Amino acid sequence: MSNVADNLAYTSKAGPPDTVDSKREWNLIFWLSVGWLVILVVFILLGSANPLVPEIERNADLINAQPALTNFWKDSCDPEVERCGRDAFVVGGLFGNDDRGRDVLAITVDGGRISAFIALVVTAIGIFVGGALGLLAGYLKGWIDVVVQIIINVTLSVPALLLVIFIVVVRGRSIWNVILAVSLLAIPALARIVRASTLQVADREFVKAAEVLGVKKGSILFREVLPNVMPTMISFAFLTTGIILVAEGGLAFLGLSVESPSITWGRIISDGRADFRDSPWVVLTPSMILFFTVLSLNLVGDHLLKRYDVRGSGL
Amino acid sequence: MTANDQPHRDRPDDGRPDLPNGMMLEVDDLTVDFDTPSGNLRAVDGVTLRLAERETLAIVGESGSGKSVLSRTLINLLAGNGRRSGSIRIGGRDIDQLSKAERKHFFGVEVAMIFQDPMTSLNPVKRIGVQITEAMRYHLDLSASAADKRALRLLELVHIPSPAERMKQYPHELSGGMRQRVVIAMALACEPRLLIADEPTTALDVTVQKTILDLLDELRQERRMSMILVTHDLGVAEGRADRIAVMYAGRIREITTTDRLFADMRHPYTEALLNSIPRPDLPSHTRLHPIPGRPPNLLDPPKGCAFAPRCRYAQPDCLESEPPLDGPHGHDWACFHPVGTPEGAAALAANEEAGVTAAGLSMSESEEEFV
Amino acid sequence: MAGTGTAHLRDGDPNVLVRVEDMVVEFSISSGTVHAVSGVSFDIVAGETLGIVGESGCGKSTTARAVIQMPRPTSGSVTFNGTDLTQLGNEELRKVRPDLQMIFQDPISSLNPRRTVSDIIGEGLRVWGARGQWTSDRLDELMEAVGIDPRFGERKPHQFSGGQCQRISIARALVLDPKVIICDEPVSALDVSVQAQILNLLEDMKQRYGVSLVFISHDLSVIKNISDRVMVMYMGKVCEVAGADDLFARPAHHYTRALMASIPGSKAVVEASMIEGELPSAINPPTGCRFNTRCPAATDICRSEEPTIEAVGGDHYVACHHPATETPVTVES
Ligand SMILES: Nc1ncnc2c1ncn2[C@@H]1O[C@H](COP(=O)(O)OP(=O)(O)OP(=O)(O)O)[C@@H](O)[C@H]1O
Ligand SMILES: Nc1ncnc2c1ncn2[C@@H]1O[C@H](COP(=O)(O)OP(=O)(O)OP(=O)(O)O)[C@@H](O)[C@H]1O
Ligand code: SF4
Ligand code: SF4
Ligand SMILES: [Mg+2]
Ligand SMILES: [Mg+2]
Repeated sequence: MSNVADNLAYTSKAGPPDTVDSKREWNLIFWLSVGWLVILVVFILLGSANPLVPEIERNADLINAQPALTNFWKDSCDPEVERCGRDAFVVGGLFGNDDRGRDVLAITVDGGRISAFIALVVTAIGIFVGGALGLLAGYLKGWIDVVVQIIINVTLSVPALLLVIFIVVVRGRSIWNVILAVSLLAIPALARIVRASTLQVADREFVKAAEVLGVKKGSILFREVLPNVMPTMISFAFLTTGIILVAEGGLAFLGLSVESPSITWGRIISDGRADFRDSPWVVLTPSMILFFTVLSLNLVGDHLLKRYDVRGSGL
Repeated sequence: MTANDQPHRDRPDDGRPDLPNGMMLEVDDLTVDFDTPSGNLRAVDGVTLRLAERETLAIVGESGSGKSVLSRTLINLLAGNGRRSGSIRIGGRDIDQLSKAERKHFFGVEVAMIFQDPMTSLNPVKRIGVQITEAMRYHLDLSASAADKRALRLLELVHIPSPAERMKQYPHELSGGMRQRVVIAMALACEPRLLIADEPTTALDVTVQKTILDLLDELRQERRMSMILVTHDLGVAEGRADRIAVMYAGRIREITTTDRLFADMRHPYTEALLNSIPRPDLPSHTRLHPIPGRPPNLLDPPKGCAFAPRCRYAQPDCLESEPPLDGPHGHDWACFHPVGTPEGAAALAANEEAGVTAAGLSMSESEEEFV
Repeated sequence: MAGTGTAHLRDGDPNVLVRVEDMVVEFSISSGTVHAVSGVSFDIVAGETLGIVGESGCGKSTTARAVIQMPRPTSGSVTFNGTDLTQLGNEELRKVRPDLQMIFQDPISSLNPRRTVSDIIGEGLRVWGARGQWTSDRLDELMEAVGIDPRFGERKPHQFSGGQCQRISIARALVLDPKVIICDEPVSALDVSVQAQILNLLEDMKQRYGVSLVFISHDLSVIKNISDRVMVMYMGKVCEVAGADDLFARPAHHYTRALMASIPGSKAVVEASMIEGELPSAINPPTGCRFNTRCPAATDICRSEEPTIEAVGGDHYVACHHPATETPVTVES
């Protein structure tokens, strides 16, 4: 129906519609980001079943790192050592190998499994717990809001690092403790965002209209408020996942991430630091992958926020 | 042109050229097109206008009829995706022929604009005084103290109580009516000869609206200003304008003096618009007559008269070609079957007979179209 | 108390549906207490339209919302069908809600953008089941009645124009066969010709379904057109109550007269005191008659004593020490 466009023209007094070009540009970046994330997920899920990724030599001894692709780094190798001249494609794989002779791509994929696991679980906990707190506080207001606000402010004002160090040091460096520690940071942050978004939605007249109809509060929360807060929650879920990937890296640098033999992106990067001069690819490969992943998560999150934010999109 | 009977003028208008044939504004065949994702949108379509010195012309019409685009175009504020054709002469000067240097001190000086929402023209983080003096110092090259003095006088002029204190306040500390007065003061700062007011009072209370419109009237008289008053309120137009232009779908459909428009309207759209508004002089529960249907989609305008699908007078010829805007004694209308003429009466009678207009609109009152 | 009193309540009338007495609504904000509504009384008779008019911020919306206890008034009583709503618990109150519906100003914002139109209209039935003539099988008929093509039921609100959205809101309110619908500036956001359609629709719905309306507007012409009785408010107080035609023919309160003189097109002159006088603050309202800072007829008594509402002939009530009963303003247009 051509009515639709034309209806809009007469209802919204908003400015001129977006130009086509800026939208297309956005879409391209958005789909590139989605593509990257899909590839990443496929690699992580397939793991060693993926023919593109070499087996990790778990028991490999400490050996010199192998350069990736070319012999670009050859000069820095000791010419006396035979291994140095070996073709990167044969032993090193696409991205070379690390000081223990493990293929960098393989460990990156392997580390990605744990990194992604931590990030996703923390995000899920953050969205469920933080989201629920934010929704209740923003919609019911009153004492619930006061309590939630206190929780948010207290947790956010405790130096995050101290809290995490405290938990990990006291409880040990298991995956679940890392998840717990990072979740304690994600929950208040997400609660705050969801609360703000809920306050905005709860203020809109359709929520008042439901109250006037005598709809029960719980029903209003689920049928009127939540569907309108959901897009914000989902987009922030993407952003949060990215932040947590980075946060885990930070923990690893402090030696507080998961214990060996588990590896994460953070650990690979932090372990590879020692040999950065000789084999920078060990650090660079997972760093670049981390960078593109976080960037993609941010772009996708941003795009969803813009696309589904009812106010912003002029619906 | 006598400058000596202008008590409020700070700047003698000696330097100003006399208006050729007394016309403040001459617009010829002005057309504005917008590039949109769904195609070309013609928001203003061949508008020709004359506005004399000290005259107020009201532009009325439904939402989307192009009133704001027209007024913004006059002050060179066309949106980025818009294209203009046709000529605009303000104070006898073609705005396309202005040199770069002249341009700098033309818009905002010779011609100024007041927008509907005062907040959009005020910077929320700057004090009122700073905002008023800024433009003056730039355009009139005044010193800070001279500009301050002048700003104070302007605020007095627009009836702002204790202006010295207001100068130090921020926009949000003022009421809506006061803000609009500040915006008016800013518009007047450089002594414009043409003031374009786009719904200057729509956001305000009736009592405030009245005082603002009185103020504009007073200023127009005192300062020899011409004014274009854009409004969707026929009451406002009736009370304030010398002449009224009725716009529909980007074109002027009828234009004449205020008295003549209300006493002897010719265009069916003018009539329909008047019948659709509640009037305070009619008894309570008087049935209103909404205009059936909706304004046309400007992306894909109908052939012939754009009002035809909603017009109770529409005949087959209306669907064929666009009626020209023309008429005797300064009363122009664009209609083949005007109200109050034998042609109009015949057209209406024929449609009533048939029960349906040539454009397929049902004539029965009860069958109000879905809006 | 100024501008208070109950002389205008029609207690003898058996058809009184809602009776509001001495309602006060105050909001605490950081800089003090906002006296939004200060001792307002009025009543609504079945099938009547009560218009509430006044300047922005005078407490029209707050008054109307306090009637449906959103939020509950600070004090005073709201009697509906013999029960005082202010005394009801939340759950009891919820049970009364279907009888008291509301239509909001912003047609777009009052519809959930993520639900379909038939979902929105049918929501009341989902909660309460059929209470009167409307059942979920007859939604099409209801949509038809308010001028929405039932074939568009599965669409989302953003696909409709402002006027259509307001029609949907009206259908949502009607589906529960309410006794009273509060309309808070329902046409203020609409274009002139659409405004006429919605005003006509409300008038028709009132006739057809016998519902009472409380109609809020700052537009006097609209108020006159739709109302049977009009209540003029100023700074949280009632100034004047009268039949619509009567009020416009013989405005007796000086504030009402100033409003009438401000109607666009009116040739009457507004007194200078109205022009210069800023609306006083609702945190610190003037003593005596709250209009005394802007009133051209104010005397000492106006500054010290609050006038009570009294009859000035017929069904016409004014709260003023010096009502202008002799000199009618001529409203021209
Ligand atoms: N920058 C733009 N790009 C595309 N279309 C535009 C643009 N600006 C305005 N339009 C369109 O031009 C038409 C005329 O708009 P305009 O704002 O002039 O209407 P109006 O008469 O001022 O209405 P209102 O009473 O709502 O202010 C509308 O259909 C509008 O959607
Ligand atoms: N939730 C609130 N908190 C604090 N003050 C409020 C609140 N709601 C309303 N007020 C104040 O109460 C007064 C009355 O407001 P109300 O919205 O009832 O006015 P109104 O007559 O409906 O005005 P309008 O025509 O602008 O809608 C105003 O001074 C307003 O600022
Ligand atoms: S009579 Fe014909 S030309 Fe005149 S307004 Fe109607 S449709 Fe247009
Ligand atoms: S005369 Fe006195 S009581 Fe009457 S409106 Fe004026 S100030 Fe109020
Ligand atoms: Mg406009
Ligand atoms: Mg209100």
